Amino acid sequence: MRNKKRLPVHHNPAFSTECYHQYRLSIVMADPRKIGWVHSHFINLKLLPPPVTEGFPMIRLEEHLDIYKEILEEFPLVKSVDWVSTIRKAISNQHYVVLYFNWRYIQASKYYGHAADLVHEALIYGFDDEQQAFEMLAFDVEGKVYGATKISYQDCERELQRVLDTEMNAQRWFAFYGFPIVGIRPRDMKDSGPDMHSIYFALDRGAVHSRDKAGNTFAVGFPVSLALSEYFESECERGGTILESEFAFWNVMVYKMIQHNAAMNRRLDFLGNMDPIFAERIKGFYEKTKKGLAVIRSSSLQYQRSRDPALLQEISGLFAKNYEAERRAHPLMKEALVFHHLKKYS
Amino acid sequence: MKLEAIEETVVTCVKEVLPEAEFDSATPLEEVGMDSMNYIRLVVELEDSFGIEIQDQDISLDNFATVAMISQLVSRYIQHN
Repeated sequence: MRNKKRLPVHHNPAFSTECYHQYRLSIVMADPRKIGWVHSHFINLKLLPPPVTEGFPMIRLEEHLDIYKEILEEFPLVKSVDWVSTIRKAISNQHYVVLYFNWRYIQASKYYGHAADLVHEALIYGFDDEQQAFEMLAFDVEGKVYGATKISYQDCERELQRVLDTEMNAQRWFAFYGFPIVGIRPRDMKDSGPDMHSIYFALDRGAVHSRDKAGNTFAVGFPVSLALSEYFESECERGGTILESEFAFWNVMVYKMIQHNAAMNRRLDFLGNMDPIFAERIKGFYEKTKKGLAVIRSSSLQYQRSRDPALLQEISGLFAKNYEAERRAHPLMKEALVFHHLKKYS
Repeated sequence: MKLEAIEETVVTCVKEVLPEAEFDSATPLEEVGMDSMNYIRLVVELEDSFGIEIQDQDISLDNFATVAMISQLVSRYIQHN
């Protein structure tokens, strides 16, 4: 029997720089009852030293995919008759599907026809028997960084099988990231609002700045900006040694900080609607940080064009300013959470 | 702005952070509840009240030990501005 089904998805969870989170948040944020959960997570960034001396430090969300256990059940999807009927059945049962393709073989992809392999995931959320196609969200399709596209049943069957035939060894480290194919069942939950305990203890963890004997810096939370300020200061002293091949990565890391800052501002708006104690002053600091990051982004691009070391000094100063703002916002936020919690007793 | 006036505003700021504390200008604020968390809040109160921006190198508990010391620090910023 010909049929069609489409599960709800959020088309722009605004964490495109963290692809594994982006796909799962597309599922989570489609359910308004889970928005409080989203605002209870992703409080901290962490900074890891670059793998090579001339590289750029890695900045990522402190929390990893295990946090979704509370709200999403992820399970291996095993082929029954063929992959199309397996995926179709999963969607019919209200299960999303994350699977991996080599995008050089996918027509809707920016990488279609390229010489190099690019194995990455997609989120299938619908099927249409009339069109003989699945609906999916993916990166770099239809001219968008992240957006919706379709893949025919025939192409999906062939391309998933291609990945299984050729990539099982090369991509094995993505096994816990949904490789090669998983079903995702959203757990039922009532809207319990944001988890203030989670936010508080994330802030409590988010004040780490350490350096090992080799001079490698590790930071979690607001000191990430300080660590970057120091990084650019030392880069300036060395006369600028960041490899040109690292520039794209550098820009992604700055953009990730912009996305994280936007998430923090959305969180404060959300909490501010619950209790005005979270508004105004704390928000003012994150707004300041937002402006600082916009200038950092533009100065970074300027440096990458001109290689003027003075710009490295300027970027260092901007990160120092952001650190100062976040250093003030951090205890204010903790205190607001404490006051909000203790109100129950007064 | 005279030091006495600065000190008066500093006292108001400290009371905002430590509403139940009793202190004079020489009382070590650590003894009446100032700690590494809430002195940053005091920094924010001072910046808002005086319209100054305290530099990172000055933000240490040592500079915020007493109302008198805080007033001296604020006075330097006001003069500099």
